[in-house]
Amino acid sequence: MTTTPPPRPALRRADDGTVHPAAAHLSSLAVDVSDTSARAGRGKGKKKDKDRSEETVDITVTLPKQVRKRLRRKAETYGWTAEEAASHVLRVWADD
Amino acid sequence: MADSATVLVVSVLSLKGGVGKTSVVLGLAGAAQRRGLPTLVVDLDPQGNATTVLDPGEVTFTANDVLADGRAGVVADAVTATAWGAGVSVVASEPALEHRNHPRDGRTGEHRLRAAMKGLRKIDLVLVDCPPSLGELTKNALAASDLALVVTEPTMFALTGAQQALAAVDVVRRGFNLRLRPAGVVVNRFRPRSLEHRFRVDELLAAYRDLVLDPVVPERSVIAAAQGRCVPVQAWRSPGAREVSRIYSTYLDHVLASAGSEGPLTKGARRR
Repeated sequence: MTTTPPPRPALRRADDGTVHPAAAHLSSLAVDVSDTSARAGRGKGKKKDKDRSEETVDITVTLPKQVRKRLRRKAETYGWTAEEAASHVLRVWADD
Repeated sequence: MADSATVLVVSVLSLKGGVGKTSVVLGLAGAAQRRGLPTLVVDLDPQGNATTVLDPGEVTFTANDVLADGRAGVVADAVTATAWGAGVSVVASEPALEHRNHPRDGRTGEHRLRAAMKGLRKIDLVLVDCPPSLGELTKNALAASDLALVVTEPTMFALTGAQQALAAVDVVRRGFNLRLRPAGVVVNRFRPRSLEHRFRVDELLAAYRDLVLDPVVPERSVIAAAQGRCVPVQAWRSPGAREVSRIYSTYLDHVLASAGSEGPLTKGARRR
């Protein structure tokens, strides 16, 4: 070899703006986080996440009091409020 | 601060080993100590290098015990004073932590650390040193954190590890912890004369411009020298140490500022 080859890229950007390993065999490596791995496979662009976090909207839902009570209790086991848990669940559902 | 309602929890991670996660944790801990910010290092890496450098006295309750116990607030029992003096304490690691990373019974418990840190007092900043894998330990760290700081070297393998770490942060955020946000990417051990290093930094900037922290950490022998003597690099007296100390101080500013710009999903009651 008479010349030094240029460095190969480690990362590539997909059409949707997400960043992936350039090596094809690494691109297939799923980030395995138990039951959330399926959701993870659908990568979201950084810009989209940023946009979402910069805008807040309110949504009003009607729930039986008993359901709200159960939601609150369950949310507290994770250290969240019922509103946070509801927001989280809705967002994950919408992401899918 | 020093109130459990305002503790900032930062996980330091990469999915590649040997890139300097522990060095960054220790650098930030030293910077926080200089500011008088009570800091707890939770060493979740079974190799226990952060524990070694922080040199705690007698350890009776480790991170492994915390995760095995899992009771709300049990971390307080594991907080141990360190040789670094007032302001930096540690929840020590031990090799048996590795068993928690891939539970044989397949039972997962991503919220054990989060629950265990409930009610933490007299601490303003928690730095979690993660192992270089996305097992139960890293998931627990991210589920308990407000911010994730990704560390990489300017090399091809390390960049792939950083990308995977950022992907993991996104997954955990959506799966377990709606407050979690990436705080940035630290480029460690940069050598400006290396064409390869410059190429990789440019590549990182092209991929994650907003996240790459500036300045990068240059390769300096003083970092390893300070660690080898179990003292913060901030206590070292040399131009290299002062340079690195300034950079860690900048990173601490960035982390604290990031905590102050929480997103809409972080409104409402705090989790702890």
